[in-house]
Amino acid sequence: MLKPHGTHESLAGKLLLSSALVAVSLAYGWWQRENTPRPQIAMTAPMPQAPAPQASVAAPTPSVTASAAPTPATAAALDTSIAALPPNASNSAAAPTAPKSTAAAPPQVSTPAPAAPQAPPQQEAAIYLSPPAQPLPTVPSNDASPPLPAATGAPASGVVPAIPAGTHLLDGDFVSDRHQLEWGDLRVKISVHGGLITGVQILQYPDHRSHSLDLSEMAGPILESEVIKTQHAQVDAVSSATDTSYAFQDVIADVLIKATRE
Amino acid sequence: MKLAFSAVLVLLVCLAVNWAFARAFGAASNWESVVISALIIVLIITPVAPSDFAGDAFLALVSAWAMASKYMVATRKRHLFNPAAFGAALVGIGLHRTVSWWVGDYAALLPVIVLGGALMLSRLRYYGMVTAYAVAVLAITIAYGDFSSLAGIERSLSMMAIHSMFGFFGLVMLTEPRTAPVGQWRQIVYGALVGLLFSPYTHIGTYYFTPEVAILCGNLFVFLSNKRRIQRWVEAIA
Repeated sequence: MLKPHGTHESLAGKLLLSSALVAVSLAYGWWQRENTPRPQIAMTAPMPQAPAPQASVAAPTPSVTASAAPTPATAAALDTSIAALPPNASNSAAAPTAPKSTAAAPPQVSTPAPAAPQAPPQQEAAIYLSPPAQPLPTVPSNDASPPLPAATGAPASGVVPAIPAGTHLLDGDFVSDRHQLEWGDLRVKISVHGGLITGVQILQYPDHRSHSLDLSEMAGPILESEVIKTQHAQVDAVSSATDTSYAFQDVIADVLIKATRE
Repeated sequence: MKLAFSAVLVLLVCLAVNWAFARAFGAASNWESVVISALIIVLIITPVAPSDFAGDAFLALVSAWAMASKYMVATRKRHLFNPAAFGAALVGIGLHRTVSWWVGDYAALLPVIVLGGALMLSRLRYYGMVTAYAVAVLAITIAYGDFSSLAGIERSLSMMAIHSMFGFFGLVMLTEPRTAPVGQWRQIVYGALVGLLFSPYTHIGTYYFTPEVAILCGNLFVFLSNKRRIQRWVEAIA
């Protein structure tokens, strides 16, 4: 491509041009670091608006958890009771760190982690069970990736949970099996209270490549909060992270089976 | 809309930067090569909206460095690295962004890409190189992929063939004639090496290679394995 054609080479021009490009790149890199812009996230479904931050409260148990094993038929009533909770009934202890994607900030109306008597039925789930006001658990295996921040919250008001009639979700925390994907493993934990999914956390996500990691970090919080909002596994795929979204659907479906009782 | 904007932005930046560097370095400018590099950049970076300033800047910087690398990282007027890969790798590492095979989400575009790549391959005749690359990638995929069930096989193969830039990378980027080695055996080794590093399972420690870094490593191999080229380069410096 580079054929000399007899024109003179300019050493000053070379240095000036090269230095200018380097300077522009460094300046932009510095500017970006200072402003930490986020990648634009395109979604196929509107996200719930995050409410104003609320102070952490130690523990008044919301009325939703006081309901004894509600059936899906009572879901609307539960939604109402959650929405009607006083501001100090909210508890942000289950989400010690803010989600990385501000656009995907889930609602902070959350219920506390389950009490000890409601220990999940599986040994695997017990490993990841965290007491209230403690940092969320991490996968104790050779998992190099830090878990994404958990999405906790109540289903959006007016949303009818898509849990099949005649089935109930057991209260407690449930951890999916490790799903092996092309770009890494995926593992998810859900928290169920009052028969509703109130918390979703990706414990391990595809990270074989930095791009996989970027996509997981971008899509994770959105998918987590979508599951809480829709109460089923068939959430809308996140644009640019289609495969991650589909895999996430499978894993959620898997863990919902674990949490389901007839 | 985004695609059109990205294409225009990349093309304008590539043409402008190439023109400026060609003048400063006293070299002739080949506009066809510029257009091909610009097209590759458009296809490996997710199209951005005009309002997405960070995305626009990333695209512009990748384009600028791709063109600049043809002159700044060259020996005896011959560039060392695949321009698009160099720009994407350098700016991507600096800004913590990577290339993405967004075309994989649009199945209608894939036949066009594959057909165009196949035409290029038939012209360039790098059959051994591309075959070695494909065998290396597929071998690693089979070794590490989920081939325990039909669904797993289907998923592994579709991920590789459609949702990764396997085909485009092998047919278009790998076969860039200015950075490809001369000689059948060196071409085969080059293809196999890039295929090995292209695989998502290949890593050194905790570092996993990206496609653009894989091809840069291959380019470096081509340069270092050419004694005459190194000798002439050293003579030129001396």
